[in-house]
This record gives sequence, structure tokens and C-alpha cells, in this order.
Amino acid sequence: MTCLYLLVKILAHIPTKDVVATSLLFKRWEFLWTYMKRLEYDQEYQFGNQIMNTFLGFYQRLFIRTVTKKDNGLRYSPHEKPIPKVMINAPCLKYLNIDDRGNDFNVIKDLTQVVEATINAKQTSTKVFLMYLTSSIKRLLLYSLRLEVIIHHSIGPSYRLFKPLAP
Amino acid sequence: MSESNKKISLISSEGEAFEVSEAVAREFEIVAHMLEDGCSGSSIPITTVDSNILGKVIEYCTKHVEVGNVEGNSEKAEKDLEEFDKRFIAVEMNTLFSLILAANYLNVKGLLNIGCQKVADTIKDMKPEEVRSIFNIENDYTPAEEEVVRKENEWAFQP
Repeated sequence: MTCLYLLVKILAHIPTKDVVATSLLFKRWEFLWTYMKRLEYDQEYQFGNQIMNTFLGFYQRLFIRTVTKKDNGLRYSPHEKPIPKVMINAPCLKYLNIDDRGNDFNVIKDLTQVVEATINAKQTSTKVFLMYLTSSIKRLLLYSLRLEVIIHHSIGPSYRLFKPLAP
Repeated sequence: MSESNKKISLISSEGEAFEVSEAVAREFEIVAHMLEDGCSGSSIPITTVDSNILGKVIEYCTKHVEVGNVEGNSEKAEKDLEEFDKRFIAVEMNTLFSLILAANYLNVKGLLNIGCQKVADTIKDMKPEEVRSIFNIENDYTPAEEEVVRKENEWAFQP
């Protein structure tokens, strides 16, 4: 079975972590995982932001759920290194879903294709997302406890979107 | 409808004819398109699929058409169909891959989906060597190359 289309279809049914692990099976499969249309990255895999530093060239859909040290059932201890900041470099991204519970996203770039974003940012400022979402956005769902931050600090193209809301 | 009584012959790669109702033949989207494009012949060659696999795909489509035609009692019917799918797809790997290739070629979406799901379920908990043997591939990395890839995607290789 060597048809790329069918391999991707099969791998769509297994967790992202296992899909990425297929890169070691066969040289031609090294970048197979980057063809997946959907990526679930859970920071439970505390091994840093490596995946986010990888160039996610083909990704159209990204779902990120971050964790905090306070989350139950995770192996973080006070002695461990801090949770790394998440960087995203995915120029083809069209759908972005962030469930953020207190993490730092301080570099997000090239989100010029995003048409739909759901951002659940209870702790952190959402300005970092809004700075990089541009006029391509058609639908934006925003959950934030710090809405004032957005209105006051939104800069870049997205400011246009929010200006009418400002007092 | 008189249309539903119409029979169509699907010819396998060995030249064997399988007579099916038009409704079943239409489950093969590729055939449905041919019929819509005015292909009025009553026998359609499926040259890339052998008799064994074609017979199985027809069995799958026949069952799904039958269940689709029954009105009411949908919950039970759905469960039966799920059971049928489960039993149907419990075949050895070579047959499974042949079914996937045929379902892809003939565009039978439901079958393609359960086939891919089945392969995924099978390989999910396998050791790398076992997965390689299923896909008939060999490890062509040098230890040094392997180390580089492992480092790049370190998080994916943690237990």
C-alpha cells in the first residue's frame, strides 16, 4: 500500500502522536504526518515546543489545548522546567482552535489564511492571536475574561474588526 | 419504480459477470456516474478488481442497500449494520488492503472508511517492525539519520 492519499486516510484514524512517530518507519514516510489535515497537539507531551517549531506547511486545521501546572493528572512538578511557549508557523492554516488555560503564545505568524478561529483564552491575553488574524477571517469565536485587553491593545489589521466594539 | 428491477452486470478483471440490481450498482459511485452520463449498457467492466474482491464489495453494497430500504425500526437496523460491518471487515491484511483499493477506485465511501479505520485499529498498538511488515516496507534509515529524526520529533517517541 503506497498510495499517499490512502495512507493519509488510514492515519487520520490514529492519534497525532502516533502519526508523527511513523516518520521513523521509512524514509519516504518522514514527512507523511505533515500531510494530515488535522493536528491535535496536547501539551501533556511536555517535550516542549518542538512540534510547533516544525514548519507545518500543509496544515489547514490546528487544535491546540495547553495545560498548566495546576491541571490534575499531569506529571508536572515544581522542579521541572517551565512549560515552553508555543510557536506556530503554519501558513496554510485555515481553521484554528485554541483552548488555552494559561500558556504563553508569544509568536504566531503567517495566519493570513485563517477563516475560522475559536479562541478560548481564560487566563492569558488574546491580543497575540488577534494581532495575527487578518481580514481573511470570516468567523471568530472568542472566550475571554479579559476582553478589555483586546480592545485596548489590539493592533495590526484585526484592530479594524474590533474598533466598532470599543466604547 | 421499474428502475429498481433493472439488472446490471459488473464484470471482474477475470471476466466473471456479477449480476446486481441497479440500486446496488449505484452504490459504486463510479458506476452511478457512468449511468448518469448515459452509459446505457447493462454490463460494466471493472477491470482493476478481481472476482474475489468484487464479490465482497457487492456483498457489502447489497447489505447496505437492503438495510437502507427498510422503513422504521432504524435503531435496530443501524445496530445490525454496524455488526455486519464489523464482521465484514474482519479479514486478513492483504484482503483488507485489496478492499480499500477497490473501495477507493469504485468510490464506495462507507467501505473505504471502515477499511481505513480497521487498518488504523490494527496498527495502533503494534511495534514498529510489525507495522513495517504490514505495509511491506523496510527500515532504510542509517542509525545517524534515525537519531536526527528522533530528535526532531522527540515528543512523539515518548511513552
